[in-house]
Amino acid sequence: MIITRELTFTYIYASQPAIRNVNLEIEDGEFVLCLGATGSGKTTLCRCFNGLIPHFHKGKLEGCVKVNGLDTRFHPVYRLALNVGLVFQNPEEQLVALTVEKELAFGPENLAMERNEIIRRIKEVSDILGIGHLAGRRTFFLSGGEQQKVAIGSILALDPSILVLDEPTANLDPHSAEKLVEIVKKLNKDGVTVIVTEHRVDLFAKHATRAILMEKGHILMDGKPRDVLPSEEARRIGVTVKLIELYRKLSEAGLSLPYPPLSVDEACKLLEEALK
Amino acid sequence: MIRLEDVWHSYDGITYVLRGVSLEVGAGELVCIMGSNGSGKTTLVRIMGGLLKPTKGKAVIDNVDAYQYVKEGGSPKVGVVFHNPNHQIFSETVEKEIIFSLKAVGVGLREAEKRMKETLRRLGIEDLRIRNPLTLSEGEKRLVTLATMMAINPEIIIMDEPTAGQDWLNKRVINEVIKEMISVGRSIIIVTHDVEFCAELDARVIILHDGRIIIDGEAGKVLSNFEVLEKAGLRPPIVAELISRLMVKGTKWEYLPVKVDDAVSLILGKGVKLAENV
Amino acid sequence: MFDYNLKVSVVHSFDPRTKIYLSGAFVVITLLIDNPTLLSVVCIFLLFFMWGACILSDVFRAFRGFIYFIILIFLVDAVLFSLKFALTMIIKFIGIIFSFLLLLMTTSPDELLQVMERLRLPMETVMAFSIALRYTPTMIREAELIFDAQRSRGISFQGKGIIGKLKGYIYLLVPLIAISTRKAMSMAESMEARGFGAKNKRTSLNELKMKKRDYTIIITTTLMLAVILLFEFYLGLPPWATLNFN
Repeated sequence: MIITRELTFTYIYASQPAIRNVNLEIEDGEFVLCLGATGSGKTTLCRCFNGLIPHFHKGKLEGCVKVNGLDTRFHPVYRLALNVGLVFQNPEEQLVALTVEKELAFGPENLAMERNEIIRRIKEVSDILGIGHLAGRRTFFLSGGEQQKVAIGSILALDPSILVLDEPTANLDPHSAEKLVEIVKKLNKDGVTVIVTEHRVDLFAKHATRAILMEKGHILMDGKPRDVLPSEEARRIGVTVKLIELYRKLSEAGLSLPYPPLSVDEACKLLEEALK
Repeated sequence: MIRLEDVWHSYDGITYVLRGVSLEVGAGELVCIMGSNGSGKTTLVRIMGGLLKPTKGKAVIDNVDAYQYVKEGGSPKVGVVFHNPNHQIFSETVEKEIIFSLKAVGVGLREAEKRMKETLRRLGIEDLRIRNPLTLSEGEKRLVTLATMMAINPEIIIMDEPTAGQDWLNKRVINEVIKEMISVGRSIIIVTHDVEFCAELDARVIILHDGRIIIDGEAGKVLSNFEVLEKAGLRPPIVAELISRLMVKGTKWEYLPVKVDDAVSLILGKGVKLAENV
Repeated sequence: MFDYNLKVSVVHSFDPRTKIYLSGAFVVITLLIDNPTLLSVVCIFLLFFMWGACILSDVFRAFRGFIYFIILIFLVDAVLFSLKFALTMIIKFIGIIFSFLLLLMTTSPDELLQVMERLRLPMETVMAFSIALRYTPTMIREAELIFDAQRSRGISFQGKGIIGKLKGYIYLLVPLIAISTRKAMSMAESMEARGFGAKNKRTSLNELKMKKRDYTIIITTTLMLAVILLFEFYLGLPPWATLNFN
């Protein structure tokens, strides 16, 4: 569970806070989609969740963040890493080892786990992500999608209960992006709390239980995707979801659907009903 | 005008990354080249941009060999805006970055300043003028490299994944800027995965697979060809998928709406070109 | 070592410490002895190991690059000193090259890192090495991409003279350094986010275990080299086995 109270952070070199007065409560098992234009503070917020802010990125932190009861100001990143995992958008820049195996082992090795335990965790994570066949491969030669999976695997090896992904599909081709969404969905189903920041809303909209809009560091709106995505606020900050646009334009032309569809399946069902 | 004549390319002399690619892009044409990773897209970009000499075949721009042309330097007829803006940026301010490039291609200082101001304005990033480009966000950096290329104003601009990681507002800006450049006679070739972006552009779409062109036609037609899209590892535009699911089972189509407005029109019965059986 | 397609052979399967010991031993022996016959014997041993490692063809290919250098050394030494000296020198040189190639071509970078871990070097050092090895091909690729991007926006790398060429390098270096810094920051974040620094001593997935064959080879080779040393310093060689130009 993540709780933030009046969270405000100003980077050391900045004149304005990157995020202000953020109050959030994220329960276990939620699937949160965080949306906002570049510069809206999404990335800063992600880094607050796992302690990189304030321990790695210097600046002024006001308010507080409590992750599974731990106040991020008073616990080092490696302690928080057991609770929250953070996946960044560029898969290649996250991989530090020569081979996939060593990469997956990295986290457990850092925590001085026994060799047998490390091997067990690697196997578990490889099975979940379907990357067992990549074990001895060199990280440099993997495709973007494979690299991102390895990055996620390497974080899952620490068995965090919360997974934060910062624009995970930005550098992926459509096929890999879809595979990633499936994996994240599966993890959420298995009990991992998921927080994703993304621009490619349509990929995640149908799976998210909650959508948060951010603008200039504030939380603009926080609620169910079906309420948030078609809202005026979303439109104002530019959120573009094709199905929502379709819903809106049909509405304007007189054909009102009972609720905004978040997936092609839903849209199909609604339209078939409406066109009868 | 750029033309590729039966281009084959291999980096190691054994496997061919491009196998017999021929295409022609005229003035004022907008082309989207799509394909999965490994289809040869990057190599194609480099050859068209005059940065790589094809193993076999020719790449010519207005009857001048592309590679030879770029090697000689000077005012380029073709420019590539690459995926990673960090590969290019090195000046202290955005304006210096742009002016430097302009001077490098032989534009005088006064003209360079004029063009620099103009392109920053068109992209809506005038407030970034005296900022250090290395401190900008990735999206802003992308706009800076795009601005640089726009200021140089070559006849042919090739863009490699211009929308990757961009937010919705920037995508719209890029869309508008592309349409503007087309309207003044520039040729624009976009290499991308972003099917939705392609759909919005009304471009000509070429799909590359395994080093060969497997389809070349207008967006409405190509993006409705689900088999080909699947082969290239792409999903059809959402509205096209939706409409295809609404149609009677077994219907064959040539065109599906790929833009929201077209889909709306179709649903409301105002008719959009589809094909025989609808 | 940087060839990512290492072959499989008996020699490759030795513990990396064995391989390091072998190479080191050969280098030391080569430096210690001056008798050209004995040196040749050492080289033949090396060739035997290389045959066992199935890398003979690779070694000869790598060797082609050294041919001119060897000829140069031979000529200079022959002119300045004597024919015998020149011959001795080039056989020594060949011996040292063979020793290094034997190590490099049978050991992967991971094995090297494993040895470093085992030596209980500070974890930051090992990590730094690992990252350097991991990122070298990436940085080469980045440099190629920078080269392309810069040429595409009008920068010409065919500068006139030294000054021109140096100027060209700036356009390569500034983005490269900027990118390296960025990657370093990203990696640092990624490492922190996975607990690097949590404990002062890291454990390791890999385990280096010396097997019977390692000990066998080490002992056998040491004995053979000791015998050679014996001949060099004490027993001397019968006249027919010595090359004598005098």
